[in-house]
Amino acid sequence: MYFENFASLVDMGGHGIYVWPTYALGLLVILYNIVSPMMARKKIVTQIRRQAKAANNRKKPASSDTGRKVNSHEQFSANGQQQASTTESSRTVNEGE
Amino acid sequence: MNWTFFHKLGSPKWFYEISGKWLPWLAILAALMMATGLTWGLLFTPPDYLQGNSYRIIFLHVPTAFLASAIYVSMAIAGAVTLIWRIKLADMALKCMAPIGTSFCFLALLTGAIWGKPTWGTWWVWDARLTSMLILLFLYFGVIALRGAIRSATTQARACAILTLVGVVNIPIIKFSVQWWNTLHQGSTLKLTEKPSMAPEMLWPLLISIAAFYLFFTVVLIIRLRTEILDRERRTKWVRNAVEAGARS
Repeated sequence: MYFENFASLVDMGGHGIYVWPTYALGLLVILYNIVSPMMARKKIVTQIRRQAKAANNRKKPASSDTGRKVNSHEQFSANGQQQASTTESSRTVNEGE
Repeated sequence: MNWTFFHKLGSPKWFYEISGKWLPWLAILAALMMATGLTWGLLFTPPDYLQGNSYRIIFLHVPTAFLASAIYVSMAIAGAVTLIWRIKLADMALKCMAPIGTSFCFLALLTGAIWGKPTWGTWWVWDARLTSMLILLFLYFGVIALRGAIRSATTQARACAILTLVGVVNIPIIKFSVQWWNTLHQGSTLKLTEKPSMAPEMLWPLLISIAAFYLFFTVVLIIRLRTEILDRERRTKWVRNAVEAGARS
């Protein structure tokens, strides 16, 4: 290591107050870039799972009611303006009712 | 010429499957290289004879600034592919690259400002390099906002592609700003055509860090793209199967 001891590493000849916050910011941006897409993935996977379940329920006439409930909830929770496919799914629900 | 290869490349399903295999390896490599490059630069290099220790910011500043421009150029290429061949995957890539590029552009500006304080005595000046970089950040914001303002997916794709292509004119301005104008910002440390002006013990960690950030960008882009593919193809059977098979990876 270039620095002799921990204190000189922290101080960096007076430049530590610039260097360390920069690296902290860098770490934050890196973390954002990891966490944000992972959360987005989790959300989409849950959505698709729920949709698939609702579709399965609709096939069975006995539990069609619950199926529709889940789906109409989906309509509001899903990012409505995002995809044509989302609008498509809500349209099917409306037709069913 | 046989175009099947090109269209296979543009197939979301094919990309999803192949990227899933590559992702863990790329992620491990990116993490190792980033840890190496940054630790080396931060702890093991000698200080600069002129700037002292503040120059250690370079190991974050240069890679993120490089990437901020490179990602924008990639978005413009994706935009051109979207307009010419209407390949869905290209528009997905354009969309997924935008937030990553924004975050790197933001970090490049921030690290530059912090570096400027001990080196120039000021956080910010309206010189050509800094201003053109700020415009790049606004262009990124513009592309993201434009997509959010449009409902139809096809119009989104076209509009964002056109905006990105128009904005790409800013990239050569950023690159040559330090030559065309008398800027406070120092000239390029690395040039393709010349021998680098940097000492090798500082150059190596910088090069590793740059490569690490490029890899890191590739990894997070793949993660975002895979999610976008699932979202847009959610009606298809293969997506349902993939999700049911435990689409954790």
